[in-house]
Amino acid sequence: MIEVDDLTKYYGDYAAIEGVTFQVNEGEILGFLGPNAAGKTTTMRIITGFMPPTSGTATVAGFDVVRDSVEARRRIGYLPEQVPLYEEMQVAEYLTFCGKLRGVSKSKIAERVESVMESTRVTEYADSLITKLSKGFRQRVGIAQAMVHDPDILILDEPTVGLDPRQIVEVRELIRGLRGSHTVILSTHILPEVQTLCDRIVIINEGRIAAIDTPEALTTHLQGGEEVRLEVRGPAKQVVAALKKTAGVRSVREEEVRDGVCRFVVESAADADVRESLAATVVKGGWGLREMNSMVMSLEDIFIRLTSADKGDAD
Amino acid sequence: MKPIVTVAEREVRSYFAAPMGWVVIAVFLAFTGYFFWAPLSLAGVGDLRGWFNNSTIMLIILIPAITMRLVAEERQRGTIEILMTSPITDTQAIIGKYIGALLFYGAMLALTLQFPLALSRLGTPDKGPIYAGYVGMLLFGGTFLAIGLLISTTTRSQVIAYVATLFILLFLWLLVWASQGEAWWQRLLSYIALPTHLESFGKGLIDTRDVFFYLSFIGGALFLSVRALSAWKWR
Repeated sequence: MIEVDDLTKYYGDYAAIEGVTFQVNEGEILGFLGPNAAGKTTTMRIITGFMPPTSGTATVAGFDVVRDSVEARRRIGYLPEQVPLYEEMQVAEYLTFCGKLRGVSKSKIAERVESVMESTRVTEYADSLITKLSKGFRQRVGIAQAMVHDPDILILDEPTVGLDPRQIVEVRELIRGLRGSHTVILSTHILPEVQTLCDRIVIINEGRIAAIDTPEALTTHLQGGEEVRLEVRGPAKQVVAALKKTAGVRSVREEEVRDGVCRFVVESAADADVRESLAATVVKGGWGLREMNSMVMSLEDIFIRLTSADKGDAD
Repeated sequence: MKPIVTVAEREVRSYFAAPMGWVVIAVFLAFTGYFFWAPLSLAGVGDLRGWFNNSTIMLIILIPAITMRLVAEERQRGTIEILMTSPITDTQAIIGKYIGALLFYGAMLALTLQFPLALSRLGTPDKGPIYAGYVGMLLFGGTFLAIGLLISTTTRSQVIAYVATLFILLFLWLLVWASQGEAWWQRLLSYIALPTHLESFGKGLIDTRDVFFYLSFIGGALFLSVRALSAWKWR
């Protein structure tokens, strides 16, 4: 449904994004995850036709976002990061304007406005001036605006920012309800949000894609797979050497040595369960195995690792 | 065509939804009313030619207030993302905005029709110069609006848009002073100066050359506005 190929955008000498490539399948919810200023908004602005890339291409439902921009835009509903509201308008009036602008016919417009106000729960504020609305309601009107012309594709830049916990749950429910019938790109830096909502995740950092995969695959397979933490009583050097020789072990990291007790983190291939052979190794060496547990990396860990990889130990 | 109407409609509504629109109309009517009343009551002169001339000066001050928000405000508030990600072209957006501003200006001008109407109750004024004068005012103001729209497209600050437009309009107006003479450059300046082409309208003549001048000025400014809007996206 959306194809992004080798997208690069420079602002002057500064590369906001570089060589960004990914696809979004029809009916899928794709999470766009990255720290602030990673290039999420820039990528979304290019896909929505708001600005052209410096190089590379993006197509939406087969339409190039630069050459067939109007056709591509017709199929997209977009919630920008800064919710674009005409303060002096009333909610229903504003949504009607947005709908008309995107070609909703006169006979359908009232029904469409009614329907999106219902699903974003702003109906009771239909006649309120937007300038009088609270942040949460503004955000909802912003989401309603993106959906008013019933687009196949929704691009939501941080849709739950500024909402209270109950509203966040409501908005997530709303987005979850779109799965299958709509193609959604969702940017956020809230990890549980992507974990619960998204079919796949694109992690972007400093303008480059760091990883693309399903949340499950990211948590289990990526970044060296499984890790086991061991606490062993014995001579550290010999223990490390023996552990490294154990089949399936990729690396052994020494964490702490105190009073002859060492703590190690053993990393193994994702599909290899090395716990039993590790235990056997320790026992065979005549050392004391005091503790062993397998560490499941959370999405947070992966995210922090991916996005701070080239900053050394800064974090 | 439909997106143009939608954009224009929103522009007109927003003029009347914000205080600025009403302030502009009030100031315009107060001053033009004064320009009409003063010669009539003090000297007993019911001539609209002077009135047209004086009223156009008010436009230098008020038109920038009409146009300053057109694009600058959208950029400032981020609503430009609505326009630029909707399935409309830059040209449609600019023309829609221009028509919206023109309709507002037209409404403002229509409210001054009370003066010639009052005059026709007092006597029998010559109708020709009145019709031609209004056509001239519409073209002249329309040109100002197009220049103001162009300036508004280049900035995100409404204040800068207002001041810059005011200065440019004033400059184009004052060119008349520098153009008193027969040297080629003076004739050129005289041609460029906006008020030069207004003279014949005041006399009751609608000269196609003057109409052409204003229309091409409007067309040029609108073309540049579209380019400026597109260029801004490429920045």
